[in-house]
Amino acid sequence: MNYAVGENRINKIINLVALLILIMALIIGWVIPEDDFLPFAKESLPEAQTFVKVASSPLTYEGKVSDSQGKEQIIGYVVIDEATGYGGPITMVTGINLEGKIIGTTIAKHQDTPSFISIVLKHNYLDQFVDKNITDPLSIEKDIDRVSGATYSTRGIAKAIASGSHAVAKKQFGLAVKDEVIPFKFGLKEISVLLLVALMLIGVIFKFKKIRWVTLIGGLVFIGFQFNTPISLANVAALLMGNFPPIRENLIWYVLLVGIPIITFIVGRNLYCFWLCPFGALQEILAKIGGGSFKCCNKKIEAKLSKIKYVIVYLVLLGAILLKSPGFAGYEPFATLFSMQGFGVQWFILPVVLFSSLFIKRFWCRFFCPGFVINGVILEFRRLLIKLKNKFRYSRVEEGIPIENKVSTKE
Amino acid sequence: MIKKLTAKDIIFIVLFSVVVIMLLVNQYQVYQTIN
Repeated sequence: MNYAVGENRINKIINLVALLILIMALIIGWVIPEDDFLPFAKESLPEAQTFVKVASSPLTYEGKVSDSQGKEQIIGYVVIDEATGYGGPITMVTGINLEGKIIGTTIAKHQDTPSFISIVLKHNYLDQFVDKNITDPLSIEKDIDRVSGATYSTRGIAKAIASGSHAVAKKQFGLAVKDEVIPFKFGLKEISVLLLVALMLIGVIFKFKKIRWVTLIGGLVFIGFQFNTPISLANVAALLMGNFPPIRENLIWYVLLVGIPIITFIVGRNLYCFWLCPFGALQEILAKIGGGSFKCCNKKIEAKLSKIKYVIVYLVLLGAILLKSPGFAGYEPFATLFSMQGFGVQWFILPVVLFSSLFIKRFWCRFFCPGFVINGVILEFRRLLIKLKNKFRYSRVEEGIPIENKVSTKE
Repeated sequence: MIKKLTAKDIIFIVLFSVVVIMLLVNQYQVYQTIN
């Protein structure tokens, strides 16, 4: 008995220390000084010999050359601005000549998912911006072609270049720039995901368990293959690091990252994993095909192995925060599957996981998925709050104060 | 403990370990891309 109490106390201390380290890493990430962008400025405006800072929001430099008499002459501007891609902000350094045209642009730093950035670079996406006027809106699919498989990243890059060059147009060239009003994006993607969430709620509230297969297959088709927008730990890391994409263009991001956790907290059940998750759906289908009856005979081993995912999620999150790169946390194989884009060992993880799922039901979910961990944390937090509320209620009873509202602990 | 391990247990542990090792390699590759 004493041993159990002692072990419980040690677990609590370990959890607390782990939480403190995570918070400290977040604080350190915010405090670390800004990077030096001058090497990138030289890349974007190669003819310039010196750079003089002329504005700080966004950071703008004048590029100058000296003639034989030592007289300096402005030959252009370099502007540094950022916008949110898929996993986090992308900082673009853009060189502008005196005719008001973009002459070069470079990614100075980014916290986006590395595979998306490599797709962008592979398609020479940045070349499209050369020779564009600094007053151009640089809208995706109007002025600039998007790169399929990296839509969010291409949009973020275009936005960072546009906002920087528009600022130079206004401040340095005195031009009027009509800022493009971004319409509230509400298309097939938003409708289909909202419909799936609504169906899920109907199924949960009215206990129509058969709807679960409809939402799961819908999730596989729409959240997975069609729109490739499942919840990833990279999104959670981005959220923790304060990277919020604009809601007008990313409604689904907010529905899945904010709405679903709130519903999970209210209902007290892990709904995303069992009702919506496209990768969960695929594993359940595979288990139906392959039998999914293979079980580790030793329950103790299975229980111990299933706890390792908490350590993986913690370390990966810590790494993402320290590296200031939410993309580092996106270790799930579903991005490789749904976008058919991946690099290195990711192409090996996917088949091993899918093959194992034929015989071991929800192999990835149970032993590796951060979705289970995140939902577990939300539900644990809920349990803690209910416990505290009950404690408070009983202390009021002991003090003789009548209780007006009954607190339910039912989940 | 080892005596109690069955063939099924070993297959299970091997599969699990393969995925863990591949995930470690993946994180290393992602780390190299970031830096």
